[in-house]
Amino acid sequence: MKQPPRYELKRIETNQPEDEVEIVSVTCSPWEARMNRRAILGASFCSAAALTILANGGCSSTPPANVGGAEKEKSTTVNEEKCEEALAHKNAVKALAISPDGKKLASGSSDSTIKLWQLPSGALTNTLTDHTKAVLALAISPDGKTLVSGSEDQTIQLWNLSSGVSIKYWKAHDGAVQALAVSPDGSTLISGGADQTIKFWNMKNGRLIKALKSPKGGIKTLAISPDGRTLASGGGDITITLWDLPKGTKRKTLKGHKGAIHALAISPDGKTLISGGADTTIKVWNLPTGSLRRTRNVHSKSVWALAVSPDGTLLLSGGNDFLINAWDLPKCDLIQTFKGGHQDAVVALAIAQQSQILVSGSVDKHIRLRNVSTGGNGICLIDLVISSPKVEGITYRVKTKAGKLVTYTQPCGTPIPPGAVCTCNCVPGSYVPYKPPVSTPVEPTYSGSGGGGTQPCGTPLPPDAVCTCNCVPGL
Amino acid sequence: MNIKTAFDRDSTVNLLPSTNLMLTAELFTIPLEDEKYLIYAPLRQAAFVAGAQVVNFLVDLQEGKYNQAIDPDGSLVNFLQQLEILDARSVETMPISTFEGTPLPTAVTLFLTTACNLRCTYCYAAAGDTPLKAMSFEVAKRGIDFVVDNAIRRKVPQFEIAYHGGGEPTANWQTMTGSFAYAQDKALEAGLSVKASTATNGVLNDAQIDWIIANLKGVSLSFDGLPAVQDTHRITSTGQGSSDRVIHTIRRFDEADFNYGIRVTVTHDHIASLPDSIEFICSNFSPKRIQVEPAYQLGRWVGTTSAETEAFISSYREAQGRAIQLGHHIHYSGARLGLLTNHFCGITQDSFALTPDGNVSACYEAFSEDNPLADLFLYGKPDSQGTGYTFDLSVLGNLRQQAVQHREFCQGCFAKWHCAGDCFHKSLTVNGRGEFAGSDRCTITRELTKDQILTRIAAAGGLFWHEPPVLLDE
Repeated sequence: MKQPPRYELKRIETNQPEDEVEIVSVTCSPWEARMNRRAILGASFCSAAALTILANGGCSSTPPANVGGAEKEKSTTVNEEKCEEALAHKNAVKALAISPDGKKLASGSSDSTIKLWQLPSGALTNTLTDHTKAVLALAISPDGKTLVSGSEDQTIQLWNLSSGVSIKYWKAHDGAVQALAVSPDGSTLISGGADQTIKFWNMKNGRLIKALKSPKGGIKTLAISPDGRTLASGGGDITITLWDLPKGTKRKTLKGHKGAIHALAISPDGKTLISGGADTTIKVWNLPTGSLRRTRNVHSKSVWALAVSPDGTLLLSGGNDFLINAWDLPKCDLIQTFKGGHQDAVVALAIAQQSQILVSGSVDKHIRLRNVSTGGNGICLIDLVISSPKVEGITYRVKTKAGKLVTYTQPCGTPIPPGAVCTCNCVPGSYVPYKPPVSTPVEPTYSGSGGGGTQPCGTPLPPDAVCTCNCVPGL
Repeated sequence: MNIKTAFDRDSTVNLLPSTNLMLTAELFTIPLEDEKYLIYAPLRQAAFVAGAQVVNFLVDLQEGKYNQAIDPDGSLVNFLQQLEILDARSVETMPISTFEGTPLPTAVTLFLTTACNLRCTYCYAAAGDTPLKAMSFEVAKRGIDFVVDNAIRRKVPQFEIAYHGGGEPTANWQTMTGSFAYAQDKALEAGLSVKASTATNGVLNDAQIDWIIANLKGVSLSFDGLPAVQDTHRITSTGQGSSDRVIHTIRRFDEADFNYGIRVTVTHDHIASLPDSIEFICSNFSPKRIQVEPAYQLGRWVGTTSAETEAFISSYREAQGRAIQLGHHIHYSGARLGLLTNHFCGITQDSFALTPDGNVSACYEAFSEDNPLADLFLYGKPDSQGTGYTFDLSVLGNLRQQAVQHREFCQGCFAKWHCAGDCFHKSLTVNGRGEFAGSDRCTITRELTKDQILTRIAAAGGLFWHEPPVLLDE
């Protein structure tokens, strides 16, 4: 007769000193560990050297000179050299989306992953790995609960934005899914594909509602007006098409660009459409008429990304010239150019409503957060697992208004807020690159003796979790 | 739990004034190597790895003491609060659902036949060797009518049919196709939708494959991987291998992008081959799901050497690594970290399955009145007075009691809310009809569940896993 398993919490006899408190970092999956008999019996994990982050004196006591600390003069720039090694993705960042409450950022990349980040701290919370090819488009439902991703693998996937768990996925186009938009009432998802179709999907069940044939060249970008009555699409055929919603009838074709349309944005009042393209220009159109109001030619290379601030007064554009330009709306006069920072094309932009944070994503694999008002190079979001082992992090604690202590981790050189206390400074570490498991479809397809179940795979770090410290001694 | 604020000679007394600390999670500690412990709160979906002192700190808190020597600045408390292990705003909810009263199922499983075109050496049903039983269309029709009526009564928009058996369901092709056509007509008439699936050994002709692709929502296909492995145990009645035929079926499914899963059975003699078999499957085919199970010592395989061993666990891990590299993932029925439940399978959830003779069973392994455990799992029969079924609520009540919250044996196990007590039928064959006492599968379940927890921690950044969090007030 087997003995019942007993894993309840109980005291452990140990020779460890009382001040040797360890939270151990798990840096690789059991599937990657070399198993031996001892490991099978006792353990199945790979650990970095134990972190003593929660013990007294667990971190390096001498901060590097380039770190901003509470006692030092506040720095407003990030050490550029450090940032280059601090990667957000393994490959080009292709898409960004910010939740309506401004607390969550999703990034999609050519490395086929989606990452979820907390704003404004920039902490990485989830890495979603279901797509098998580049993630080219992201959208978040108006209620902030669902993330939609479109990929070069021709599928669309719905995710629970809180948990990062996959809800549903399906093959959507006969080519890459390159653009996504969600209707303001959250009921309809619209996708544009390299197969030259625009498709309308029921957001609840993923069923196809209708498909429109678009002009040749594939759809690269979509924008939907706040009243849900106008859809703008642009792509390789250098025209913009306005569609009446919900019927999906073509209203007008806007001509003027001399190259493929890469980006579209509609102002919050629904009166202005902005387009950017391969001809390096930005054009401003009146809605709903589609008449051209203005053309701006400041970028020296293709315009890849556009974003409009929530109050509708600011337009941001990103280009192949590595620059981000800020324009006032509705006039579209250039206000500022954000220089430095990205080292390659800026292909994705997003603005957080509440915090005025501008997020930019680039082919250089970086994602940067900037304050829209103050600009500057901002801070780089970092995935420590894929970044260089030399990347160092800074950890600091901030007391909130309620008197709670919240801990944040940022790349070295990131300025910490006034009153924050640095708890762990820029210690070099080594990381074993880790490839998370790929998730499977939600519905079990099997039956049989032994029962069945559902196994959503994924990386379920909660939306507002914060790392307590990323300081890892070298192995 | 109030912590004393007055200074005390005992160094373990809390010296932080005005602090109330309360453990708000059911906690388990799982020993790892080098005096490390995986601390897991399943109902908070939170876990981290720590040293012994952290475990003892939690024990102190449980006893009403705050050990400041371990946590001088409160950062450990803060960490635990973020994981909702300490001072969570919400109370933990046990994932318990119960069933009462007369069942009104909207899904039916039809055990179509005990016949089979294979003679798999390890078949739990000894299919093909038992007296032939085949379900008639009338029996199937009665079951379908019952679930349709229930769907209408319960205002549920769809009903489901699963084809299974102590044999190959497609061997009763006439009843399979006829019953599904009937179900479609009923669905149309009632304004419902119907979904059907089947298990199969994959030895099908093209017409059958075409029909399955056109009509069914999914299939569970039994296939053991490498042809050498498949052809050792999954053989025809004349002893020939079946790999060619089954691979043909799988390729047809792939061409049609059909929704199928593969179930791999591992015998003791092929444990070492599992990684290669999984690599073979993942490299060549596109199943939506791959399930791996050690062979059950039932039916034709009774009395053989068990595959529920440490070697299986090791081999499974290597196979998982290979599957992941190829963009897949393998599953074991007991290790279900993503599921919080008190039910392992349908026997505690009024699963409605019909034997070929039309009696109601809750268990796929009790597919016939001849099963030695039929008295425990067969809980209904056709109503002689009407068109429905009469249920033995005493038998059904006993089945409902097999949910994990009633299993004393399982209460100290960290996997209990995922595994939910494992297979009752299997437990009975191992332990007899006494109190549930687990099996060697429990070891596999715990090891693989532990793997999944550690994987989640690693994927979430390496320090902890938790979903969802509680936000501290800003």
